[in-house]
Amino acid sequence: MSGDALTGASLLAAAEAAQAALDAGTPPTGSSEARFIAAMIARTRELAKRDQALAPDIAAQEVALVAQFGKGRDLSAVIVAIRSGAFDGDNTLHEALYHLAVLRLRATKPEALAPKERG
Amino acid sequence: MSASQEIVWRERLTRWLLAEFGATSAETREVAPLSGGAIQENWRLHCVFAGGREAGERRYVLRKDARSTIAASRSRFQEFALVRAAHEGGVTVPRPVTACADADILGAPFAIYEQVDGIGLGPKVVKDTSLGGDRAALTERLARELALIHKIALPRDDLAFLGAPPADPARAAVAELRGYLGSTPLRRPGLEWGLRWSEVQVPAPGEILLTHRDFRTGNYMVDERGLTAVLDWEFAAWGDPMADIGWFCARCWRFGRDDLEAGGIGNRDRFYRAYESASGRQVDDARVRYWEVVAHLRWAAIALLQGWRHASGAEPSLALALTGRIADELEYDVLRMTPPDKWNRAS
Repeated sequence: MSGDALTGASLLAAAEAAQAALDAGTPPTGSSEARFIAAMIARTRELAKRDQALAPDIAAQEVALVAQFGKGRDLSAVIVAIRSGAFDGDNTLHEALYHLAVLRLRATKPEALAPKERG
Repeated sequence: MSASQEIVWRERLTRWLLAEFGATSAETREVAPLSGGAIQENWRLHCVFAGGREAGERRYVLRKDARSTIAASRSRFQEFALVRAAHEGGVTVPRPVTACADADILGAPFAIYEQVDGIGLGPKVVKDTSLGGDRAALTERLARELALIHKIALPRDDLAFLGAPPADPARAAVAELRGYLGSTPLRRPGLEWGLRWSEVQVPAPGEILLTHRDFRTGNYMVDERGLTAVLDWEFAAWGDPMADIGWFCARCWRFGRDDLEAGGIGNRDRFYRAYESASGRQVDDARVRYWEVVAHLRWAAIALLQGWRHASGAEPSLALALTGRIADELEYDVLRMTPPDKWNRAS
């Protein structure tokens, strides 16, 4: 499993649960807390949409990373390789990891990326 | 908490406070949840006591462990001992009033502190310059507060629960963070890259003192005049004092004011000079910057643990889920801070 437990369905389910609580008046409608939660829900729905759009690219980048640095197994194998020191300061690995991080951040918080990285 | 639960909670707490303070009567007029505190539940209390050591009208904050927590967080009882040590050492903290290790009273151990007025929310403190008084003075004040924390040194019987100090705080941090990352099924090779960098670049062990380990903008409160309290002691441990400075200066805690490298509120050099003057200890800038990388890694690991509290079903929460996603930006920052030309493989 990669970061997917915090994306897509899990995130939307949390947003829907928060919306249901708001609809039920918890916290009280119109309160600053309710407004804060409503804004959080709206942000989450936008984020989930970007997750959905970027999921194939992120999955493909993970597969490429695993193929090149994880003996074709999984991300855990990549981690074992990194910890072993076999790729200390390795340009190719850094580029691959950086690309994956950029893709993830395009979904999570695109404004945190350098302008040319926003896709 | 339901209304009926709150009544039970209030009655049990009032009885306990009556005995604890030796009062002849006690009334809890208000029990209200406070926002913030992702790892604990915080409650505002308004009590009135007749007789005993807290006689009179009192306003407190009660901190209690949340339903699920993260391994890095100390119990409320231990946190209380840390705040008491800091209070005795002259650090500006809320007055520690009492603590209860008995989980039967409120379902979990809790601690009570005197309520302190002020604003703590990091983004607000950074952006609203009507808060905190003169920012240069606030920067220096925070440096002096940190220096006071770093005066708390071994041996301390009251802090025995902290265990033996790490022989090598940086290596211990790397091992700890690998443990955090390995404790969930979430796999983040970008963070592992950063941890490997931290292992290769590890500085030689130096002085070991009490470190707050969460001393940053967002964890202190200010009013319009200046600092009112240093908060959130739940991660404190023996460690490298430069790690606290690295945590305070790390980009991830500047809340968008990257130009103000001291916590988004002040000048780094001013902070260093004030710390050096108050502590008598020279700031090792290279070591601080090493710890800034570790700060990003640590915050990322904690964010993922928080996210996992949601994703695992232990505590479904949109806020926790979104906290987990903060790791994405931190991972990106770590990879930017540790490019191949920043690896010194000879060290």
